[in-house]
Amino acid sequence: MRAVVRLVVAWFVFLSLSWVARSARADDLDAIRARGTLIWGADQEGGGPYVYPRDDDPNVVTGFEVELASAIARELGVRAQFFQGNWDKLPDLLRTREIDVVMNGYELSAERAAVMEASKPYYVYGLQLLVRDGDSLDWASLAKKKDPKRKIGVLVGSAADTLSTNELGDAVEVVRYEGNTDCMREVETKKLDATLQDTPIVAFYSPRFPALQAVGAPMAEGHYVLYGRKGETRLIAAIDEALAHLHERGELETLYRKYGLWNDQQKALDGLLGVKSRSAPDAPHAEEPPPIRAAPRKRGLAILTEYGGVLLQSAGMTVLLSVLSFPLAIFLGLLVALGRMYGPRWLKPILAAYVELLRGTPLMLQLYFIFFFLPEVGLRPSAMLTAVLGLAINYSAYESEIYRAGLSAVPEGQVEAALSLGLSRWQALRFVVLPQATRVVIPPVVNDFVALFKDTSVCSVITIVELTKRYSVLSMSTQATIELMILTAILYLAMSLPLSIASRRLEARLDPKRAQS
Amino acid sequence: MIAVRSLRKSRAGKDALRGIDLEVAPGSVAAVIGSSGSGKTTLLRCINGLESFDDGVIDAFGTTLRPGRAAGHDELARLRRSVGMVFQGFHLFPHMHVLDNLTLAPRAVLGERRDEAETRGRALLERMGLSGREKSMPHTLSGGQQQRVAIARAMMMRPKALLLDEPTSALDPRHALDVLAVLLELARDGQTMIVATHALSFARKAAARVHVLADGEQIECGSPDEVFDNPRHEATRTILDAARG
Ligand SMILES: Nc1ncnc2c1ncn2[C@@H]1O[C@H](COP(=O)(O)OP(=O)(O)O)[C@@H](O)[C@H]1O
Ligand SMILES: [Mg+2]
Repeated sequence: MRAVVRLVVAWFVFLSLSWVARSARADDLDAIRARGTLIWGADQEGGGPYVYPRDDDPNVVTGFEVELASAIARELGVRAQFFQGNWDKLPDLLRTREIDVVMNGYELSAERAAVMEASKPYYVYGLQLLVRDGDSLDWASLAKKKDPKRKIGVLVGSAADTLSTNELGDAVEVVRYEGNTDCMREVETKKLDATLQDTPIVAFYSPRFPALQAVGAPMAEGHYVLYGRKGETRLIAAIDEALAHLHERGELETLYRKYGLWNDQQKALDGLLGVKSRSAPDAPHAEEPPPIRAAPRKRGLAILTEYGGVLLQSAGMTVLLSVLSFPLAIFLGLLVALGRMYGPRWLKPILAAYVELLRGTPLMLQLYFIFFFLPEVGLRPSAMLTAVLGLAINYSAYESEIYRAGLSAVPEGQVEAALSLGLSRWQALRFVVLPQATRVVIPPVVNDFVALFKDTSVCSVITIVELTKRYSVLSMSTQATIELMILTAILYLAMSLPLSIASRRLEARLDPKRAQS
Repeated sequence: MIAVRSLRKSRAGKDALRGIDLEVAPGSVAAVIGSSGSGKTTLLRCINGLESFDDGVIDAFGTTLRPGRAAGHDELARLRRSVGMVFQGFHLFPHMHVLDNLTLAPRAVLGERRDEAETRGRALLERMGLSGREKSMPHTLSGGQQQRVAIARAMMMRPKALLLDEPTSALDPRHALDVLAVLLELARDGQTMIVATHALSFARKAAARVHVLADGEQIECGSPDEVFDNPRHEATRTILDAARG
């Protein structure tokens, strides 16, 4: 019992610490300078050449945006700090002050500029059509109807998505993916006929997908910009100035050449940034090293030795989330169950609603709500705290139902026997009902613990990188999907199997029909 | 002393008890007989405060129960410390071994130390012929043994009176005899008891008074000799015949 109390205390200390750790963060240019870091948000799952895990150390990100962020930060007199978030949720992270700016291949668009403050462009991209080598498909032929419809893959919500939908919408089926390389692989494996990709991606991944060819010139030129919070004009002005300096000194060109991203389109940057680049635009770069491209696809056991360690670390996060949230879920669940069974009349419908609300809505939505809504009313729990609380609250609904069933399974005669001996209702509950109910609920509760282990993967939506997210990131950057999948599955099993076995043992030990001490 | 006056209780629109009067002097035994459904269990549960009633008064060693809502917690606790109950279905705690079943209440309610409670528990088990079964789990015991553990468990609280609801009806005859032997010994030692039972020979030997219930009504009441040998009521005769088999 004392150990339990100590655990609960330690837990609350942890919670309050993470709350405090969180409270001072993200403001305007002054805050960035005072803090000494520019926190920029991006999704490493999006992959190269923007932001992707380094081959030699998957815990660290690299990419041209990583280097650009460092350069901009240097111009501002601070350090750059990368913040991982799901690509489509980056504006939300901006709004909740988790990050200072978004920089992740976000194109300039009227919709976005309406809600965020856009910087000047740092890169001019185009959309490139990719088809299988030898296929005689181009944009014009795609626009002609064919039966069955051809399929074109795009990144969901990207400019490519908009263009394809608007221009080809009727003639082809637009298939939306979460990852760029997924589209390219699907073209290779003939599930798609074509994909429309941003030019940097095409440049970077060309060695990975030798079976693909670019057809036609890049279309629908657009601009990548940084986004700050609406109204942060000083910060954005400082960033614009930094970009102009970098361009003027030729550093942008050097950076883009390093990644093989420099092309004629970038000449427009002179006008866009309002400064002339000092490097001669057409100077030959004879002895320049070959550009950084996607590493050749790795296969087999090499994956295990190279990425086993990182995956194991991320499994640690999965374990941490589970062991912090589940005890709380059980505790809350027990309170809810007791409240519903023995509580005052007015409390029962409230608790019933609590349970139904949590069981009837997706966990992901609940996490979003806590993470993105609470900051709007001034509460800013950290991602970790949000994840732990969200999981605990969600699971408390299920645990309370299990406990209710367990408590009801104890015959009324047991309570009466305890009462007739002079025990109070609380003592009867504690010494007679709960121990018997616990026995009944252990198997389903352990079952739920295993389920919770797997549900922690949902936490990636609120910026936490646990095992599944790490798997996605790595599989996106290496394309060693099958190997990583197997490895990840083994890790999940390694966590859940011992639990199931322990549960079966415990169940046997608690079974009065077998216990004979 | 336990006194029940004009006790009435209706249940689901039906009268389960219609005016029961009963008085048990300290150190004596009252037997309650009646066919199934006559109200014996309901009567005992009312006296133990497990059920509320509609009319009448129950007085048990200074605690008074009145009709309507259940009595206060303190009152009930006081009542139950003086009046123990042994249920027809034993209701042993299945997750505890025999000795823990016995010592739970003394420790939790009276604050007795574990070793003290266990010493008393062992002694009581020996008296019940259950030496050696201290650490057995309830489900490993025969019905007769379980019933004796249930009696010992109630006795651990040193109740001034013990209510027993058909203590032998769930047992085969041999085990029933063991239990009745224990109860007879308790009666000789001056333990006040109210026993709902069909065991007429036990009632004749142990009881000072016999109460006959039929359909919630007390149709007859007197010494065992009066009731058993000279029943005034036709229904009593039927009940006795059924009990004699
Ligand atoms: N839980 C209950 N709910 C409703 N009626 C009950 C309940 N228990 C007993 N009764 C009714 O109350 C009456 C008395 O029952 P009971 O006291 O159990 O009699 P006995 O113990 O003599 O067999 C019977 O009519 C029975 O049907
Ligand atoms: Mg009965």
